[in-house]
Amino acid sequence: MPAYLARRLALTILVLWGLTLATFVITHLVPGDPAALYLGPKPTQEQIEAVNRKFGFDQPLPVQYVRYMQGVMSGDLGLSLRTKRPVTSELGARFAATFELTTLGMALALAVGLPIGVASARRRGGAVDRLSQVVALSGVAMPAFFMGMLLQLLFHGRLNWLPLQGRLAKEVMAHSPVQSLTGLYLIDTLLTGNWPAFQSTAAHIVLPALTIAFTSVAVVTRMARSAMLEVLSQDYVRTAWAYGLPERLVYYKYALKPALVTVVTVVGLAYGYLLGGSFLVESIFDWPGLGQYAVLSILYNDYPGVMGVTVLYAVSFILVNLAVDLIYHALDPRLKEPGT
Amino acid sequence: MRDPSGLRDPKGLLAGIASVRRVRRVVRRHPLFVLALIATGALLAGAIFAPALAPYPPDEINFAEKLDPPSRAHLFGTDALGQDIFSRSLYGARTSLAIGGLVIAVALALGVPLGLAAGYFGGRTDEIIMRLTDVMLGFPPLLLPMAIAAALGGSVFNAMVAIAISWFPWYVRLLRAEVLVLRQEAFVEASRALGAGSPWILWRHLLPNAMAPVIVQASMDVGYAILAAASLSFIGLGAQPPAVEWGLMVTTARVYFLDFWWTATFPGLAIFVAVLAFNLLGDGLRDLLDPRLK
Repeated sequence: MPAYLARRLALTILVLWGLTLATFVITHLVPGDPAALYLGPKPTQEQIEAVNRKFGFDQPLPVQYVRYMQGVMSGDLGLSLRTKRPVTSELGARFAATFELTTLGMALALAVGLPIGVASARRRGGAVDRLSQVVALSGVAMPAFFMGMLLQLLFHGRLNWLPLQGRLAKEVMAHSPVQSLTGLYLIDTLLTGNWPAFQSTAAHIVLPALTIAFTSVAVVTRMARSAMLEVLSQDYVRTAWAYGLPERLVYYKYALKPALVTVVTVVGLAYGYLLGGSFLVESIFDWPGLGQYAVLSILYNDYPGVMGVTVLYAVSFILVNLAVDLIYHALDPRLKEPGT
Repeated sequence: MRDPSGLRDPKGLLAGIASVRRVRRVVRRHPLFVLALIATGALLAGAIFAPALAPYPPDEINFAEKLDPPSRAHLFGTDALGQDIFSRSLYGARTSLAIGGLVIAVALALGVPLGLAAGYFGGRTDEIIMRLTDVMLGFPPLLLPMAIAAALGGSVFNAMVAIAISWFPWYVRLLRAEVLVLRQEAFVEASRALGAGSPWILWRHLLPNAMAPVIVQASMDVGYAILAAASLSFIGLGAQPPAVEWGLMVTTARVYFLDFWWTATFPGLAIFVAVLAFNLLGDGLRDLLDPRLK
């Protein structure tokens, strides 16, 4: 086992390194002058030279790459050419926004998708099953940005119940600013008893969270359904039926628990993907998260920004994988035995 | 010679009856597949015959009729420039289907040989190819095509290149997994024992037998490629005006769609229908080609 783990770790590091190298190469394919980008319109020749010296833009690319990677090792992701602020601290603030949105969206998807998936498996081919297949298919085929726009059209344009975009209303931000404790506005405003800000941020998060939930519910439903069907066909479930155990007990205790193992894996991976920032959803709702940051960085050719997002994403993806492994072990006692 | 009685050629008649029955059976058992066939066929026809079907030229600007709601004259209404959205949606099918088809063709052309090689030769070849795909698939979804498209500059062609490059590793993995199973099969071993060389085995035995899941995946992916291209347009890294593309139409409408719902809704629905149709097509093909899968 340790040998296997060591190999897996080595491969992961290799892939991580490959990701940074690939991003570095792609972002430097664009002919452009990073110093000019950093300085803004009409810089003088001296200014450009000074910036080039300061950041090492005058060095050959391999040297720049090695320098960048040295910084990454110590947690320094460089300076954004677009905002002139350290990428590391910018990503920190934005990660909280993405985390808040993604977690809420995923929780919604689970709350809706799990019961539907289980119900579909109970009555295979029934009305719920067919309906869930339609929902799952539309969730996959619907462009996320279009879904977001339809929600905006209905809940903002027609009904005027919810705000169009953003994370907090500007007036609220001026009157009762959010004291940042965790970076999660919903929690911070609750902890500090800041009601106006809580109401505003809660209203703002609904539509983007719904959009994320809509695109994820398909995965959850399909996985829950197929995992349940798989478990229900096992011998021990038949035995449980033969013993005359109540239906509820068989479905929700003996079948659902092992089925959750599969669901957790897939949902965990989907969640890991989403933590990298949902580019489209964050763009359409002007949500100040990682996805929007990545889009802006790419559009401005701000390569420290792009690389920062890639590195953070890769690391968070690995951490999610680890968490999935741990939850696996908690849910499936068979995996606890030594040597397996 | 024609033989309507079927007496002289009973086999031919039987085959004819059998194929009619077969079609009927497919229609009955796989209604969604038939629906998907009709939908993709309609999209294709709409794309090919767009010049004949479209009531207006797609780029005809008419400020007198700008932002008109759907009516008999303009089925899907008009946009801010007074362009007919129905005509633009038809022409948009040309762009989107071309993108979907070409992206998958390029991704297959890159992914299939690499996947075959990785699975068949194993060892170092396999290791190098697979680590490469690991890196490419390690990017957050859409970030790699976004970065490539940004590096190349926004256009329909560059978006296609960017999506194809980020897509082919999936086919490498698919092919490799198939080949790993197939190369253990008795008929492959028999062929090798008879003295067949690697190219022959790869071309005549492994590739044809690995084709079913590839066809299934590819037909689904046409839809996803259309979706990815539309997403790139939405971010501003795909099609640029005056190109006529569904994603770009939705994006352009962002400014005023709250007051004029039809401007974004119809092109958005077009994307939805296309992705759904290709998805169902792939699903149906999977049921027909290979009952083992699913």
